[in-house]
Amino acid sequence: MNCEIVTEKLEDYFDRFASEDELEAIETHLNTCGSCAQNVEEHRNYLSMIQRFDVEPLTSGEIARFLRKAKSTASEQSVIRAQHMFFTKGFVAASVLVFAVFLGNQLIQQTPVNDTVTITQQTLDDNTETTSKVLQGLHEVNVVIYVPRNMMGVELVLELPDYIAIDGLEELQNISWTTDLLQGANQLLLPIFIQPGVDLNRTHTIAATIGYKNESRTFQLQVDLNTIQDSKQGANLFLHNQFINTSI
Amino acid sequence: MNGIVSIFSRTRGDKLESILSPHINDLYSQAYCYLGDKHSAEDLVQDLLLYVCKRKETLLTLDPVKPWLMQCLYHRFVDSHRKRKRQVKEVPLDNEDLYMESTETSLEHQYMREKVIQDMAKLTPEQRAVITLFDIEGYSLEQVAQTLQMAKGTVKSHLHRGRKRLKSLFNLQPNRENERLGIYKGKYTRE
Repeated sequence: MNCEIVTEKLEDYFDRFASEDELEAIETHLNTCGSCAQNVEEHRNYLSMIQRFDVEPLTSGEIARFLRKAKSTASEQSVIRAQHMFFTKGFVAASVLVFAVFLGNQLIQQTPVNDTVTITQQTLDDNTETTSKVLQGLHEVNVVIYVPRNMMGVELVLELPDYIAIDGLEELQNISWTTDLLQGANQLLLPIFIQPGVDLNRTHTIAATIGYKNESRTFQLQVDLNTIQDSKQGANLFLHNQFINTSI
Repeated sequence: MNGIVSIFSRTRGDKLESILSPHINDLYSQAYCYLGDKHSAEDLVQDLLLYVCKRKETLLTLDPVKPWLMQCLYHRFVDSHRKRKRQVKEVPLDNEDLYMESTETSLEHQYMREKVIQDMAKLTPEQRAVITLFDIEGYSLEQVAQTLQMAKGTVKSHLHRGRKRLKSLFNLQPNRENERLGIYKGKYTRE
């Protein structure tokens, strides 16, 4: 092996990419060639230099701070981002918990709100268990907002009681975002957490305000929680599906 | 219930933390090598964590998760480099952070470390990443290729060019014999 090949293979030699035969040939050459031995020395010096790039590790407190900040910022941004993915058009009957009808701005302006909005609640039978999951304190609430036509730039606000939190947004009691509602049913999935110790047999209220073109309306979403004993998983909870129909 | 879109993850935050925590120091170390200073490295890691927190569902499907985190870090580093490539940033020799972070008290060690940081900043992002992962962090060629999503040959090419540039910047000059042979100019001459 000559100097040219050895120089070409020198990094492979150090990086252990060279074959056994090549390693042996290179070492034989290096034992007899002062010039190539200098190149070896140069590469060793390089490795010695580059490994001075040591980095002092972060403390556990710094790591925790990074994670806290990332989670907090992600939660805040998810609310803003939600407007692009919050709703999907469709109609799902058995899985719907709250059903609201909201008319457009012109109708709102023409008709007094208090006289026209009625809210009714309907509890479905037990075959809704598969769609209303409540696992380890996490309750899944489905809300369907029905609108007669497309409504762009609707502002939605949810006000939660202290003991109810949205999964992933635990810090926020008031959640607001702007979205577009499409004609027909618009679904919203709310994974909620209820603090231990809260009486699950009484009705809980989540205030939802819908604002559209300088008009707003607040709905009190009545949520019934009934304890149902599950032999496999212990005391699990099921949210009965509910419909709140509003009509104008 | 089919077709329902939920924006809320059902994964608890503490699970996310337990997945990410073991890797943060490694990611920070890489970020430091990419960028050369503490504050920029912290910003890059913070940016990465924010990106990851928004993609919890993806994260939870991965095992192991570290290669993906390293890929994301590299891509974010390249993005950040593009954004500020017109801003040539020199690490001052009296950077207090560097002295504080040095594990040795030797002035020579500190000086050499700063020299490495300054010279690394003169490499291309690809060369910096390859040298960081291969020469400093000690990952295998396969791991580097996977992380940077490059062919192994491309990794070796960046490695060779980056090393050559650094040797020159470190003032590890080629010997006179090789200069005479033209080896370092790419003109190979047979003995």
